[in-house]
Amino acid sequence: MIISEIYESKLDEKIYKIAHPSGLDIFVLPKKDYMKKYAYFITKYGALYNEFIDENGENVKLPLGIAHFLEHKIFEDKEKDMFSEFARLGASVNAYTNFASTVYYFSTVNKFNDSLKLLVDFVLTPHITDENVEKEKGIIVQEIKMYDDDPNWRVYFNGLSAMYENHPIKEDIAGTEETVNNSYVDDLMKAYNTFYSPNNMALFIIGDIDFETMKDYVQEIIPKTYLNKKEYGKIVIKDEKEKVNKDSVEMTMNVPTPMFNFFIKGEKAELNGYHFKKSMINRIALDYLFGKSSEFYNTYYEKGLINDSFGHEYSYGLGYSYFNFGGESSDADYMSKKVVETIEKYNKEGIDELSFARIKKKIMGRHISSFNSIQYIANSFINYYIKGVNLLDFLDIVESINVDDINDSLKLDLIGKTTLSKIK
Amino acid sequence: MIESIDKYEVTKDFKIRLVKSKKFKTDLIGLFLLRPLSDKEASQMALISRLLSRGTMGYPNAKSFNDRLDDLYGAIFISDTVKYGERIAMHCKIQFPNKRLIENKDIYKEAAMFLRNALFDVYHEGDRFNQEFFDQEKNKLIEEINSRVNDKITYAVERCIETMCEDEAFSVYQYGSVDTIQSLTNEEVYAYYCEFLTSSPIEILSIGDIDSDETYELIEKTFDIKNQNEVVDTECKKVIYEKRDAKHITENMNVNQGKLTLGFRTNIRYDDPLYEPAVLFATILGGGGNSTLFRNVREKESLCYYIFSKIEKFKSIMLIAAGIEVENYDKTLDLIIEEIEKLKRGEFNEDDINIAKEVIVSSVRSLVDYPNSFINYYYSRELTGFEYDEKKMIEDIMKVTKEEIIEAGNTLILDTVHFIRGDKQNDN
Repeated sequence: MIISEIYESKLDEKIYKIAHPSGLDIFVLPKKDYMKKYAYFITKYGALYNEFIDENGENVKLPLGIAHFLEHKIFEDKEKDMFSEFARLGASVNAYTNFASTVYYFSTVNKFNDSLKLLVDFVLTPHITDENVEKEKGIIVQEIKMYDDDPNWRVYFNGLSAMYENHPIKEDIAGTEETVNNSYVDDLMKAYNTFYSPNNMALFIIGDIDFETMKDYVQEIIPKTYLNKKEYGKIVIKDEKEKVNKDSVEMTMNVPTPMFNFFIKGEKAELNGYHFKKSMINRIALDYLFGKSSEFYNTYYEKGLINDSFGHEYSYGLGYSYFNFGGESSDADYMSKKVVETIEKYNKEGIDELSFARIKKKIMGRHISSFNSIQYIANSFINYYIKGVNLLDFLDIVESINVDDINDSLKLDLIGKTTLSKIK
Repeated sequence: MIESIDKYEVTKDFKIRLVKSKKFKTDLIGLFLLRPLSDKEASQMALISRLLSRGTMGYPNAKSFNDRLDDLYGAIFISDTVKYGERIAMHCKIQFPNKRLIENKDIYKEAAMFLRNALFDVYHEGDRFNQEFFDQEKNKLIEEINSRVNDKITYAVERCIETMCEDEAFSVYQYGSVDTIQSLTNEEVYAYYCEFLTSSPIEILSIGDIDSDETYELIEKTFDIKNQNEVVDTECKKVIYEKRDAKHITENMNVNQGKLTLGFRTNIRYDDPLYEPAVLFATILGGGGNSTLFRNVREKESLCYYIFSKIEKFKSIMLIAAGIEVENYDKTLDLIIEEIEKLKRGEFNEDDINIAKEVIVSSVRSLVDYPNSFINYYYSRELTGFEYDEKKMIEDIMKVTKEEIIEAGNTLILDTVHFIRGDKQNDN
């Protein structure tokens, strides 16, 4: 077991890491004087990983939405109601599933150690039966319908669906009503046995916690049988063409103001430091071109073609990356054209030193401020961890970016690579 | 941990509260201006709160205004309006990194000046706002109000409140109404803005690693608030509701999932001895994963994904909301009513009470972890006429008995059942 610590003086924060020989990573970030403590149990298994090669070399294909279904079912226990058990300790428990991970967590003011044991126990001892799987279907279908009524969610996923041909990012995280109804105990247990192994998992603890005591306690509560578990699946991501599958998609939801998401399909990324730095460079360039202080934003805001809801992002994961620009607009086609023109113009002119310095200052100031919130730290830490980056390296990475990096970014070939998703 | 809270009553209608806490990375300054709630005031305040971000006399457009914030290490400026029962307040805040994290550059004074100018020295031309800014923000605000249907969960609850309280000021939406905003003229809103600044009770709250005496002097000098004229009456009157037959309202919308909302009168105001018992009743009923609604309507019957109940602190009402299949309307409604009746009959145990107490006490104790939530809570607490006193707030929860919770539950009067259902199901 290797224990290491990183101290970031610019934030005045320290994080400890225990690298267990089983492959399990344990992190502790002490936050003095905070009342709440949080613990997150993470598996790097998300909605993108329905297809994989198991330890016997067999190709396995599970119903869509299985990672999310499993998240719901992990809460089952033979005798106890998990929500009540946590509540009894004064803790509140929850979980979420995204593209690349499933995360179980709780927060509490008191009885942190007991709650942590409960978290580890319930994630590591699933009780999934035909009966409780059937019972869950109705609940998940209502969850899907809730998201189906959210136009911001729909405009986004419709776009991803149109842009990709094979990559599983084109599917909704929870799957569909049909795939949920066609999910069974065996599917759930296959996913569980393959991906809930120590070499694919991590524990993140944050709050007013003494590392020395916690270090011993954590190791005491993690069962030996689990630490010996070695199963692991090799994720299969089908090959994806470089161009988009469809260049537009439209849906009617009777929204008061039409909505759009304009996507640019990017390279096939991987989860490593190189792609992370690249994403930060893109983020700075996007902020300069499309942020609240940009010429673009102010021009079209004043023309009434975009409003406060306008946003931009660069997103990436295993085998995909994309840029997205969106919000409410009465003329999505025109705005998409303007996005393209703005990028083309930037490719000729680049960024000036003054703006670059200002954006860097802002990003660093905002990052420092974000360390007020332990929940925000935890969520960012986990996102970065999945991408192979330590959150405490953020400021160093940003500092290492220079104006030439920014000017070399966004050199995109846009032909056949854009998808416009609209909701009216 | 809060090291100290210093209170200064500069005048009867101008207060300063300084909260010292070293654990945060930022300092935060917030201004709160209070008004009685009416459609006209809410509409005008909402429009002004948006015009503030369009510039000051020193930074006369959105670009220079935002550049200035970026230069202050990405400081965040927010102006918005919030309802407190039949009152409404404008919040104007600025948050920025504390000097110890930015190479000891103390930007508190500059940030305070920025906030002061954003509110008191908005960009204007004579006795009016810039006409283009005014028209643009008016249109955006109307768009924003129209777009609230996009968040169906919140919208369903708000529609229930609006139906339930249709003859009361409380039914006014936090940003006013489209018709009123449409009718507002530039000159009229500017005149209101001037009056608003000089006739509203003002409170400034600041939280961070600050020195009280020094900060007090700085704020007092920077904001220089003296010219308060006749300040509006923002007293909140207590009203008692009689029992009546519940209203059943159904709205059709383009939705996949039906949204059921129940509105109850409690007649228990925030200063009533039964207020804490009522909060506990709502928590046992629908406050999280251990609540009876979650356990029975979701876990046992699989009727919904989300269901919750909550007390509207400043309006003596309780709301229950769930997203369900349209065909399960009767079944869900019966089940919810049955769960309420069970609690009213005392069919819950000490364990349920202790868990609910724990939930509330934890949330009280962790208020100090979030600077913005803390000053918001502190301000709302003062509006109830009580001091923020963590120990007392916890005691008040812990001493509640089962009998009191039952008594609070028995004050509930079902007033409105509101249901949003899909157009598609119309034809049956």
